Amino acid sequence: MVDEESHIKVDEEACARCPERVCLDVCPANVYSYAEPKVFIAYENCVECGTCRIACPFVEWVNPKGGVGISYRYG
Amino acid sequence: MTEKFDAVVVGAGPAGVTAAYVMAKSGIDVVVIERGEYPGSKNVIGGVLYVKTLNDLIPEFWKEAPLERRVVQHSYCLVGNKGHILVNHRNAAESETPNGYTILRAKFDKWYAKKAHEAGATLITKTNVTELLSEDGRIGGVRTDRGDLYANIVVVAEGANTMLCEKAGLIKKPRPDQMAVAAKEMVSLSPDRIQERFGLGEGEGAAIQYIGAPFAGLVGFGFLYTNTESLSVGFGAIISTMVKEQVKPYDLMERFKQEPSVEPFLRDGLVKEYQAHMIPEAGYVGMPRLFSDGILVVGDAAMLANPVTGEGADLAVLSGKMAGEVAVQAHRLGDYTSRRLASYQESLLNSFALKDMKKQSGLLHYIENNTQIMTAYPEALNAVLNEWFKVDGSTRSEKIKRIRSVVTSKRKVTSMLKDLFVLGRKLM
Repeated sequence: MVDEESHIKVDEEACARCPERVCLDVCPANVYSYAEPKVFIAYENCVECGTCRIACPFVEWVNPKGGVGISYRYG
Repeated sequence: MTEKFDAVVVGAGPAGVTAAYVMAKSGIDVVVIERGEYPGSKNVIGGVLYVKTLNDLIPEFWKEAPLERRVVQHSYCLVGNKGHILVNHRNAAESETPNGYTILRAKFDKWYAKKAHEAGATLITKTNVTELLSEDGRIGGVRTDRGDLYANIVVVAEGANTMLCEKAGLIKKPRPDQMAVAAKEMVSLSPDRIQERFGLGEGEGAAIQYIGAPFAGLVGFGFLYTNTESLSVGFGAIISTMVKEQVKPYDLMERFKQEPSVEPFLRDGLVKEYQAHMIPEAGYVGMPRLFSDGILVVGDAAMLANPVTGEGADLAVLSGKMAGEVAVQAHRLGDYTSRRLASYQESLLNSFALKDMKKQSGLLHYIENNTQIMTAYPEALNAVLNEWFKVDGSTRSEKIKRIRSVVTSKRKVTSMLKDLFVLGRKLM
């Protein structure tokens, strides 16, 4: 089930200035994409691994609210 | 919803459920709060559950638990540039106690949580804990997206994303060199095909660990496990090394699946699910304080994973059991202070798991500073065997000359001696 609200927020100014944009590389679910000067967040793809939170100092990543987001059938 | 319990457990994975089970069995009023639809819905394993720690808690649990295959074959695959070496070990002691089973988390965690429920624990799902509640400097409960819950003690089993522990000031946010990310697929294949390809009997399983990354400069490894009617295949690496090599987790996994040492096993299989998860790799050195007034930390949140042995789920169970027991003691004495709860970390540090992790500490750091190790040895060994087995008109001594120059071109002799010293000390 997908939430109406994104659980991921970024600082647009920081993104525009960012030299590395590691978010584009480290996310295993292609949540982040870039079209100058904005970073786009497809939060509905998120598998909630939390890698972006570790790799990028600017992203605000929290768990989606209870009951929504990724739900593995096998895991 | 505002209620008071004796204990609150955050997260219904194996660590949290174990703590809840132990507490519930002792009559403690415990509630487990899971943010997913059901326990296991947001969990991923490689992987194998090594049975020892859970067997100590629920003897012969494998007779009733929904497990995949009993692992009788452990293998290392050393992947070189041109070739690979597969070292299979088959455990012929089939009549003895099982060592490990492959599992699928959505199935297993659901069953396990039900055991805790049957023991008396309350399970709440679809509810996210947003923060820990403090009261006079001690943890007194949790805030969720559906209300507050109060408790004498909170066991945090939140997994690799340690937001609650960080907010509570117990740990600093992990660095990219302290965490790995793994991308994995569950590929369905008939049991007959699996058994044929791996040389297994019914119910028997194989576990292969691949070293020699598809890309140089990575610190990580590939894995392949057999489930009842599917294969779990994937690749994980330390995040900082992936950033450095500019490699994406999904691409890494796809590239790995195409390796000649992997692809034949997957042939004709159907991808049923894609998964990705982080694994804590800070090890012993990075292990934070796992307790404070009114709080204990277990499982992945406590950084309990061993990349050398592939242990994680069994360590979650071990820590959950120890935390549960300490919580029961605390409850009996009405004392939930740090001083009382410190015995949890003491027990953990004296366990086999942590003694090994302590010995290994610094290993990952050494490898991260000498990433060549991950590829040099598999490549060198492959080059040696390529020469050894080739019949091309050269004499043995000509071959040995070539072997010597190839090996030393992969890694300097002085470095190899240093590796032997460091790795030998940390692994033996």
